[in-house]
Order: sequence, then C-alpha cells, then structure tokens
Amino acid sequence: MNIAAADWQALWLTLKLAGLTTLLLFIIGVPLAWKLSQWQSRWRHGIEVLITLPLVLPPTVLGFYLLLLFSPNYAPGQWLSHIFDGPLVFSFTGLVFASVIYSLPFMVQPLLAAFNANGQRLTQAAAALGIPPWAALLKVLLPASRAAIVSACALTFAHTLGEFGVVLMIGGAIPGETQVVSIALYQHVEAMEYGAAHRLALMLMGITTVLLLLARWLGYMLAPRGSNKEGVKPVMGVLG
Amino acid sequence: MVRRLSLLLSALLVAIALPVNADNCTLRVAVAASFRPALEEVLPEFERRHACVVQISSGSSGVLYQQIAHRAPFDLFLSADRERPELLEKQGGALGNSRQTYALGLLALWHPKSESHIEQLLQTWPDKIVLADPKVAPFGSAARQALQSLDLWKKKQTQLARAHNAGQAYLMLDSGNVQLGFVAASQMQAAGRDNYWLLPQHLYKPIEQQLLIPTQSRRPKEAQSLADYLRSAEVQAQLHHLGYGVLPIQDRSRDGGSGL
Repeated sequence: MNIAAADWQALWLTLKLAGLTTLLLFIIGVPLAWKLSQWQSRWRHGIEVLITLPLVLPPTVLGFYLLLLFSPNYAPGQWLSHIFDGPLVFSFTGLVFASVIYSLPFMVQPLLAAFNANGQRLTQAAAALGIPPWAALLKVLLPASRAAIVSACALTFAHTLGEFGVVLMIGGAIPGETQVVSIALYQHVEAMEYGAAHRLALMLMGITTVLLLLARWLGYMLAPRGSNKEGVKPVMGVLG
Repeated sequence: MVRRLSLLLSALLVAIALPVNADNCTLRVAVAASFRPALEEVLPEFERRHACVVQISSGSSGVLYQQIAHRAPFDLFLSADRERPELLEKQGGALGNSRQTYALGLLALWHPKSESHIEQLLQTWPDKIVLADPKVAPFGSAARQALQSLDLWKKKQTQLARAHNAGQAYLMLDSGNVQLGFVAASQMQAAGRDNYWLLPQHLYKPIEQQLLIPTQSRRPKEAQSLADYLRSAEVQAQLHHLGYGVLPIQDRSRDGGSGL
C-alpha cells in the first residue's frame, strides 16, 4: 500500500484541522452551552436555533457566504484580515475559522442536552454548599457530564474530518495549507486516479475508526459509575 | 366531506401518474456546468424546430463522466474537455463515432479593477494569482501552458492559488478575494464584462470541448440532431459572441458521424 507524500500531508493536515477545531470549539462550546442552559429567557430559543443553522445550510452555500465574509471589498473582510494578519481565503487559519462555524452544533448540542438534564440540580446543590457558579461548572457539572463531553468532541472531530463543501469554496487546494483529505480524494477521483483515491479513503476510514473507538472507550472509562440513571446518557448512541 | 376529499385526492394521483403528453420527445442532456449558460441560450430555437423538450443536468465533467460510465440515463453528453469523452469512447460507452468537438474554450486573464493593459500586469504582479486546478480542469491546464509559454510558471509558483474549476476561479475574483486570475472568456461574456485580456491562442493548446451520445441513449436520433445543431454555422456564430473560439473548418465539415 503505497501512499504518495502529498496524501500523507493531506492526512496530517486534516487531523491537525479537526484537532484544533475540536479544541477551540470545546473552549467556546462549554461556556456557551452552560450559559444557555442557565438562561431563562424567550431569547434562548432563538439563540439555540441560530446555533443549529450550520446544520441546515448546505456546506457549499456556507462556504459561499464565508467567501463574501472574507472579501476585502467589504468591512468585515478588511477587519478579519487585519486581525488574522492576512486574508483568510486560501489559508489554514481560514479553514479553522470556517470549521468552527461548520461544526458548532455538533459541540454545543450534546453539551446542552447534558447540562439541561443535570445543570439546574447540580448548580443548585453546589450553591447550597456555598460553591460559586463557575467553580460549580468546573468541579461538579463538567465531571458529571464527561460522557457527553467525549461524545461532543468525537462528533465535532469526525464532522470536521469529513468537511468538504466549505473547504472546496474557500480553500484553494494548497498542499500543506488547505489541501485536506476530502479535497485530495475529490481531486483523485476527478483526475481518474481511482487506485490512489481508494487507498486514501481507506487510510482516512482506518485512522478515524481507531480514533473514535478510543474516544468511546475513554467515554466508557470516564463515565461516573451508574451514571446512566443520572441522566448523562450519551447523546448520540453512535459514539458516546 | 371525506368522500369528496378522497375523490379529489384520487383525481390528483391520477393526474400525477399520467405522463404529460406520453408521446412527446424529451431529451436528457448532461452538460459541463461551464457550458450551461451557452446551451440555454441556443436551446429554445432547437426545441421549437424539433418539438423536443430538453432536460438539462449540469455538473463537473468528471462527475458526469462517472455517472454516464455507470449507465446514467442521458441521451447526450457535453463535456468541457476532450479527455473524458475519449475515455468513454475507449470503454465502449459511446454510440458509433458520435464523439465530436462542439466548442473551443478561450482563456482570459481578468483583473476586476483594471480597464486595460492587463497583459502587462502578469509580469510584475506581486500577489496571489488564481487559476483553475491544472490537474483536473481544462482551463487550469491551459492557464499552466500559457504561463509556461510566457516563462512565468516557475517564477510565479508560490503565488498561484488553485480554484477547483474555472467557475470557482471566477467567484474568487468576483468576490474580491483575489485580484488577478485566469478565467474562461465565456464567463466574462456571460457576466457582461469586457475588461479582460484574451490570451493569444498560440500560448496554449486549444481547449476542445467534445460531445458524445452514450450507448444507453434512448433517443440517439434526436441527440444527433442536437449535436448537429450545436455544430451548425449559426450556433457557432452565436457561440463566438458568447466567448467561444471558432471551430476549425475541417472539423465543422465532418459528417454527422453516426449516420443516424
């Protein structure tokens, strides 16, 4: 099984992108889901729907709007390229930016479900013991939601690995920078190099299967004993 | 009430199930996305003459080739290149010798902000230059050949950004994300823009767009009529206005091929 250097590079880039996106989304998603679960307002439903939107928009359409967002012809694009020290289009930074939006619901939804199930009860109990809210989140709620966290991270990671339409629109297939596996695969198929396409697809599936099995096992090991009656059910039976 | 409703429903179902004018001619054409606007421009006249409705499916030539090779029910395949129809023919997927060139793509260099002297920009341009992916897109390999002919391919290597195809390259330029790049002249014409540089045709191999009739075609006769119509002098003149090159004479005088 000989895989070209460019394909290894694409595999590595993809894992890097998915890993970084998962990490960033975890940092964004935990406080976001927690705030939402605590929030008793009519606006909450609106925000939750907004977070779900990346699921609804076809990825190429999402990519098209990101292209408009990145464009230096308009204010947001100028501001973004000022912040990120260069244009986001055709860059790894741009892919990370896009993936965070694209995979947002996959991180937030499982966490939100877990926090909704336990949040009130646990934070009230913590408050009764005089523990401040943020400490309650870190010391009580997160450990109690371990299974959901593993599930959310695994889903986010897997979803970003297979990202294609968005990258097709904003990436430009630059080796080592934006040429992820999904793009490399598509190029192989378009160039009628089916053997190379099969090998790369097999590699991607092999690596992903191992990683997700590891995540499952980790979730199983981490779940508090008897947690399932506590309501921290893995949100998606596929992975948790 | 219920009875009335069920009557209405059954009437509706019957109406849906009945084919519209069962005897009518419907032609299924698979066309490369880039040629779709031009095809839509010249189709109404064909439909009027032949009392035939043409259903268009457009996509990337590579994907359409895949589908047709796996017996997708198309009556005519209009590819954006020469390579895929040739391959289909080799694999026995083409009817008789129906494979022919129907259009010549022309390569253009576009700098949305400039009105003139775009050809001089290329030499000194310090920033990103977008082109379709030379590995998979005909306009990409033409752009590569042109850059090689101008002795710029190696020099500009680090500045080149590859869009997936000519359509994407156009989008990158039109949205302002890249300032200079290679597109198809037909895209410029379709968008009503004239501030582009048409690259001299000796800088790159002609971008021959070929068609063929797949073996699974249910209407090979009408498909051949459409192929002949596309290659006719009147349509070729229209295509020239739409940003396509003029087919060489010997190519146009070639007989319809399959003799249907």
